Amino acid sequence: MSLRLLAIDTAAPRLQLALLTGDDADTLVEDMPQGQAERIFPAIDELLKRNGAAYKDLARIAVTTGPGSFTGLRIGLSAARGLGLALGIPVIGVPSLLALSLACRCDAMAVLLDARRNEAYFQLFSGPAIPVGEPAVLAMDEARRRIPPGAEVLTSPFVDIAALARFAATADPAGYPPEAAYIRDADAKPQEKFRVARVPQ
Amino acid sequence: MRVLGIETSCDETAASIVERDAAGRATILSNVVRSQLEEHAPYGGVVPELAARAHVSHLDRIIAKAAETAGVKLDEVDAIAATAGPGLIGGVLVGLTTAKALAAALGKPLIAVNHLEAHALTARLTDGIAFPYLMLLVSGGHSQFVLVRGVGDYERWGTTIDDALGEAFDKVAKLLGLGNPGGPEVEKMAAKGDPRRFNFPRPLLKEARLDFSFSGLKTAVRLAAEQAAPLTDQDVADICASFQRTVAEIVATRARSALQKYAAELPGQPLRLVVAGGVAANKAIGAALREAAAASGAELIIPPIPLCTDNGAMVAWAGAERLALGSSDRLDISAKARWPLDSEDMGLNHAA
Repeated sequence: MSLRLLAIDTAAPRLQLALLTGDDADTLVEDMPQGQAERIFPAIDELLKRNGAAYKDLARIAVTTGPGSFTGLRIGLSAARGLGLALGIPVIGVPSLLALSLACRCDAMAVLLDARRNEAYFQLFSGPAIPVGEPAVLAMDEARRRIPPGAEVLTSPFVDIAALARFAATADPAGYPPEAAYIRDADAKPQEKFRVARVPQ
Repeated sequence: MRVLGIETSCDETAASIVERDAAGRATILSNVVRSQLEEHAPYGGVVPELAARAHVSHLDRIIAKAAETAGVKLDEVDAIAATAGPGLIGGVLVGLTTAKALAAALGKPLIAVNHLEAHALTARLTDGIAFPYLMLLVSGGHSQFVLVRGVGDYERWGTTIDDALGEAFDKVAKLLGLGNPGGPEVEKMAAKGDPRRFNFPRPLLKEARLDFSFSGLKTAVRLAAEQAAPLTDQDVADICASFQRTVAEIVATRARSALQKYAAELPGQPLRLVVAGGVAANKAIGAALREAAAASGAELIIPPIPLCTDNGAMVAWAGAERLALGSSDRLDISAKARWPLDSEDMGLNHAA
């Protein structure tokens, strides 16, 4: 039987699943601002059942690694890594901006996502899944300035989940570890101000 | 039966496999804990986003290690249990979602465990005691007396109205420039100090209720420290010793009252006080509780400290207790930041 791959994307306010069988992709896409953690396994179950498949038929899992909603990323990654562990199969972590670049059959493109706080997640590509430089979080103005003339600009955070599944089917697991790529650091500052003065040692 | 337990509600990433025999006796086959102390050390406390990030990076390997150590394949367990709350929601989501994935892919029941129930049932894992009993849970996140009537059957008799006791230790350690977690650091310094040098207040203690309040005490410690500043090592030791004496007195006084209430409301039942949570490791508090229990004619049970602090074995055990009663949960269950032990949905579920 042909290879079956389950792809998961929960980085944006949408639950996206694809079951790839050979080259045929069946997708399940539901918009949801929240609730992915509750819905994801019943949804996977539906997707498998309507394709006459079971978990044990899966040969690979693919998941987006970000940037995106911190919580959304962790739901997708926990689900994917849990499935990989249970089934003993590889989990392919695909960076979200690279996954978004799969949607455009063009030579030069910039993926520019609203990262709030007047910032953007930004990365340039010279073709689908061919990055030029690393993903970064930039001031929105700076990101716009860096768009090369004539480049396509992709601003939707919603990955083409079938394209992602096809990409992951042949990707080398060693090059795509399922580790979150938050890009933006956690808001945490060392706290010293509450300390009472000590006699110098 | 064998149950895998997953714990990710604070700053320990933990997994364990526990076996429960037909008579209800437990064997811990593995118990793997990865502490995040180093990740949080520069911040003087647990940073929720950093905790969640560390959990998702490490949990699958910790589970694999727990299975390997136990010599059990994951598909040989009978159920997957995970803390579903209360706790830091980002971390709870990681553990619960991973547990759902394992349960779905392996075709095993999922048990969504209340972290407080896992603490409450630990004495049955370690000492095999029967219901009912009185539990004192004292940790970084909780300080409460709970009547434990059975699995899923709890009555909260008192709780903290502000800070948890472990939190108070941490805050005192922080203002004195000691390391984190504060409990062991304060205890170490207290050993060299004069417990009578400072007289700190004992909030709420004159009232008959079984609640705690540690916020005012923490402020009193700060004021005393500021007055004595700049602090010598001896000042720090004296403050720690005085603070520790005060909280030990508070806990012991409350424990005596709680045992009195227990004796009055459950006449004829053996008087048993079970301690759970990381603060159980504090020797001064342990000694004060031993005295209080002895004076009340009660048996005091303090499980081994690695099972009092957060761990996967207690979650696996709580899962086993629920599974033995036919209870399991659906894969669409939500993680909960807040989940009191006496809330309505603590009863047994027969969903699967």
